[in-house]
Amino acid sequence: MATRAIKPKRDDKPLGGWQSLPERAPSVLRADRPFALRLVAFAALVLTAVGGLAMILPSFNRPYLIDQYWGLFFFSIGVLGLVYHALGDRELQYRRIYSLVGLVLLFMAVILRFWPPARTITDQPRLPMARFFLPFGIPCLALALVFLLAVVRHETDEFWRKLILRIVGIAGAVMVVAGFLFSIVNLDFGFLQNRSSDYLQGEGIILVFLGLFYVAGFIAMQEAGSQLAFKSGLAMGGIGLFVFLLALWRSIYPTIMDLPADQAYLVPEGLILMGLGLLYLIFGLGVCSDWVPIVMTRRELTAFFYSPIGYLVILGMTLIGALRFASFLRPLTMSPMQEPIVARYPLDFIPVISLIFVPAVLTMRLLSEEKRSGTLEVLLTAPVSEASVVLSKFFASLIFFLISLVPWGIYLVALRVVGREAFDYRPMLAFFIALGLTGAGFLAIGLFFSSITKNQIIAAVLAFAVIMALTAVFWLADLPAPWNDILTYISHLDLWIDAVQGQFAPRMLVFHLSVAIFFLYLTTKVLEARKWT
Amino acid sequence: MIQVHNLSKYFGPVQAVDCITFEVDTGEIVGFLGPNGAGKTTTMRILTSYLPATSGIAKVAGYDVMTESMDVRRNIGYLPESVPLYTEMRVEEYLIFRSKLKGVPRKERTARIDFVMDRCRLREVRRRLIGTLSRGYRQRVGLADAMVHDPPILILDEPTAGLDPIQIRETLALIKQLGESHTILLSTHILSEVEAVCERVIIINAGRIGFSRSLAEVESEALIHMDVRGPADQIASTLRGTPGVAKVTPCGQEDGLASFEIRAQEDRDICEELSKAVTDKHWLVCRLDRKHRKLEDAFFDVLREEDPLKEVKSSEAIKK
Repeated sequence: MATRAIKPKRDDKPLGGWQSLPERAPSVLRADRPFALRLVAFAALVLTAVGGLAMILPSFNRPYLIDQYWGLFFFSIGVLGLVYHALGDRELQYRRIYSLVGLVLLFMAVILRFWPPARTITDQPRLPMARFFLPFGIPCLALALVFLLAVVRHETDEFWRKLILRIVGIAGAVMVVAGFLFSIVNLDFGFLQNRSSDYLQGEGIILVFLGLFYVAGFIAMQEAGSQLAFKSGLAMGGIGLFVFLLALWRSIYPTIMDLPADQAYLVPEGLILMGLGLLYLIFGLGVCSDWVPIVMTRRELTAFFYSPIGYLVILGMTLIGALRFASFLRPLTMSPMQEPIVARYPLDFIPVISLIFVPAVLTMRLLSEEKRSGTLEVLLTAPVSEASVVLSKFFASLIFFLISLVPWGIYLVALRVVGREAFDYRPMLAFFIALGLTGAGFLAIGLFFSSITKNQIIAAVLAFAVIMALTAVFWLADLPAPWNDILTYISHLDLWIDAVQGQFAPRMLVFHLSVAIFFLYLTTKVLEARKWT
Repeated sequence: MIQVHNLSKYFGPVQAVDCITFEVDTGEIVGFLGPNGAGKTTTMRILTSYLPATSGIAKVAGYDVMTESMDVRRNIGYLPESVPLYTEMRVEEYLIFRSKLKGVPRKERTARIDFVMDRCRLREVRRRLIGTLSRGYRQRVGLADAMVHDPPILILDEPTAGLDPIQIRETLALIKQLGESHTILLSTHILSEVEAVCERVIIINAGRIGFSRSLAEVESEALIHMDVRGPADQIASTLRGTPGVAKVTPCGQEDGLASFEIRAQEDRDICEELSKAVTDKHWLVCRLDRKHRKLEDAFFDVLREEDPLKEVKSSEAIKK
């Protein structure tokens, strides 16, 4: 009775008899004609040739229209242009040419490592074996990697792709193993310096770095979810852990066994090896670990390289370092100076301002942007705690901050390796440690201000103001007794100056570490505050 | 799977959700309807433990959203309304990132991502930057992300907004298929979609639940439509006096032709009785039909009933 003539008709609904259509791409990808790119390549080729000739000909006592230094400049610009072309042009013939160039460069680097043999000319210091490896072989290795990876990016032929990737991977593995092995063990095969510490501070550290880049390139070019990439990452992490523990043990050993001071290992070999081991360990973790804070740190770190800010910061720090380095060198060439000479290098008005400015710029986007675009909601409805969000952003910015400081260190490496100036660089290590920790404090402050606003600019300005206020403490330092001591702990400029003059007291770091922890805690609470009722 | 009891939420003085109570059982697909600003998104945010409730209890998969937030989040896939994504990442990279955050084991990850990319038809754009994708594709990425860890409960806030007609059907078919093994709570403004996939609807208005019934129940209810020539007031009272009539709603008058909507008690077919009652008084019946009550009718009924301004405005005045 109730439902006479009425039956639920559920079938004439939108989904009745629906059949899937095949998926189509939203838009067709057109093969572009890289005319401008090839024009760049042509100009770059001319520049490379001119620059290369200008660099080579003076060695044969032939004059050339430009001198060696302009030659180097043209050559560098030309090579950059060629790399740009290699990255952009997908055509088969160019891919083959560039892969050949890469392989030849790699081969040349190998030859330069074993040739020419050591030579003794009377009345002159003995020329070591493979003396061209550091100035020429290393750039060859770096360029080879860039060209090979540029080719692999576009390579469609499975055979070539696999071959080139395998070569890159094997070369990387050889560099890593050789770099670490000869840096740790004193081995004399005739083709090495026979003291591991000398090897470490010259070729070793460079090979270890380049090897990391090779392996990183190898891993990055694997398919997503590849087992090989996972295992390579695991191996790198394992090597890093081993080297770190070994260096730690050898650094502690002389202290606990009360050995004389000349057998101390910590400074600098221990520190350098521990740093490198840690770098490898972090790399391995970044590749392999699925632990949420690490996964997020990795994403945040790559996000820096997606945005122009990252490149601007690195470029700016490189330029500031170059200017500072130039004005640091000038007095050095005039008169002998007292150690530590590096004390004069990093600290000046512009570098200090940039060290205050960079943390504010790096952190301003981190949380404010997520709040503005709403991605914070997506993030915090996944099983991710507020603390791991904050920590991963903090560590990513800290790592990037440290990376942006690397150029300053590299100039000093150039002074030591190319200029053959045996200066005391150890205060620089202390300076970088101090900088890392004060930087951690600054970044935590920046992150906090980023978390309380949706506007990046407001976050940056607030962070900059607070860090400036902390800096201003330096000029207050002549106050009566108790205040003076307290302010010395707070003033990071005092800490930097002490560190770079070789008077580094780790207890001075306490305040900056506390600032970092305090502001990270506050930031976590700000994120949690939306849940307070 | 989802239990909500006396849930309220205030944003300062604004009452977004007012003491709502409902349940969603395992394997049910429930449509969550309501006009803009009714409190749908707020309720969903509370259920995903993104926002706290001012008072009341909400449990998802047996876990309290306030105290066991992590367990709740592990068991839900959530697609927020505006689908915020990291625009600088590539589609596949983003899905890998999300699957890691959600704890998909490494060995199953590739298979899961392949599966969701297939189902959300993202294969062709897997290497594109999310920032270069259109709104509909971003919606698909968001949906793929919500499903990537195969959660037992899916909470989807307007999953079909911005999609093209093909993709709307694909998505609805997908939701329907997922509904066989998952519990799904979805909000939308498009009633035909709800009719297509949902088993039950909850209609919310001004923060209150107006209606929570299964769709089959709604549609089995019948509405009798009647046009009669004659004096409207008298016809209405006659109709109301007819045995079996539950409610008579006058729907206006045109050229002496009065329209009525009549609901019968216990959903009986009383067309014959009505016809007789009217013709006995010598009014002419011009139209008499009985049809299923559409979800749309139910929806508007709820809005009318709950309209807080009902007393103020004269509905006749507005109609004219």
